[in-house]
Amino acid sequence: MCTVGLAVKRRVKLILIRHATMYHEPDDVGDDLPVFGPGGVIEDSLEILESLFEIEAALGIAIPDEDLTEDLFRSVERFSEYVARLADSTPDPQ
Amino acid sequence: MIKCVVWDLDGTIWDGVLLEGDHPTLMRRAAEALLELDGRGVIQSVASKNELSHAVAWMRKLGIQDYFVFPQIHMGDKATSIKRISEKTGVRLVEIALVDDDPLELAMVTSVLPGVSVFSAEEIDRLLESPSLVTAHRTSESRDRRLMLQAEQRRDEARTTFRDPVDFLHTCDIRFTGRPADAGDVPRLVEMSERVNRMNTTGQRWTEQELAAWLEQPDCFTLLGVVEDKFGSYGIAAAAQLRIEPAIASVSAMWMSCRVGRRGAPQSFLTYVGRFAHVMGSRRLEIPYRPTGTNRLVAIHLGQYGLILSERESTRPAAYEYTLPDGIRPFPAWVNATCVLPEERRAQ
Repeated sequence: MCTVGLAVKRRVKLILIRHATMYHEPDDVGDDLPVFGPGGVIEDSLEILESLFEIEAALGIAIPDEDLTEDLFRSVERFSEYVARLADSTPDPQ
Repeated sequence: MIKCVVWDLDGTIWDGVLLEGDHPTLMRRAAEALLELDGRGVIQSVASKNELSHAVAWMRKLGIQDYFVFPQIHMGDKATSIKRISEKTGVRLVEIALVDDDPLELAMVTSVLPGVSVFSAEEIDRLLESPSLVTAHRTSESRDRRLMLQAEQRRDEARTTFRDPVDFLHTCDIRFTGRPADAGDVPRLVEMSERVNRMNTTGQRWTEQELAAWLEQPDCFTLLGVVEDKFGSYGIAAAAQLRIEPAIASVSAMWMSCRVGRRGAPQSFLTYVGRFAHVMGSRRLEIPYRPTGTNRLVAIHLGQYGLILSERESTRPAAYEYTLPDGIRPFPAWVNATCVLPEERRAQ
């Protein structure tokens, strides 16, 4: 497993817990937990919205609307892989 | 438009500093403003650097605690408190005003959250006279907004006593009613069209005439979702303008209150709209989506329902689509749903 992926996953978890009701430590957030929805890290609409904005700002990415699918939020692992890949393919601002 | 006023406590609402051992009394102008804003349907909250239980006890002693929703009382910064209030109430930052006697606090909030309007404690009159202050409350949904948010606060408190969110949802006694609108619903529809930004599929505002006319057109329906649970009622929390055409049904506009997101309401409403269209003989449902910069929640919720966004074409906007009845999901297990469906039409 690449270390960049791990670092991204940790940053994702740190941002998610700032908006989560039931999770307060990144280590409490299992990789296989859904990101959003009942039983997910984030349960509320506005909180997932804020989390996405913060993750995008922190990683310098923009997640296109068409990628906001049920599958994307299926697990913290899946979501982190996606944002890590997007960050890798996004050129740094000049 | 200012929809929510956030108050500081020490030196703004009352004339002393609790942590310094004072026993402050209400500032007259602030007390009058609390009543007036409440009567005008403005949501009010608190951002105060205080010890929580002490401040809450003092608010209760002064008889003002019921005017506030989601009070943020801690030693952290006020910009964070205001962001939290925005998340909890669904009011956007640009629709929030802060009243605080400390110019430093006002300046700090302005530097972090430039969209928030700020008023010193001496400027309460200027706030009350501000033309951007929301005034109208035409419907029971807007009149009861404070009660609805206080119910939300009780839900949040109850939620934290359950480890498993689904167990919690099962205890909430969530009831969803889907029904077609009639002329009596037009004031609420006008309000949703005007107020709903985040869960507005096209961003378009409909006039009262347009909304009323839609109800009269053949093969056009306005469908509503009413949501309530044991903590209180959200009233009409979702609406869709549905046009039935041979084989394909299309949702010209859809509005949903963002507060009902986690009750399974978006899923319930999409299921109702899909079933309605299917009974009318449609084999596909499409929901055009125009990103406005503030309506990304639409993409999140429609994506969660398993819908796929088609690409925009020169002649039509991007749209979420699903086949009927295969794409229709069941109601969430914790929702008790009642739906008013049309008499079945023969599939065309």
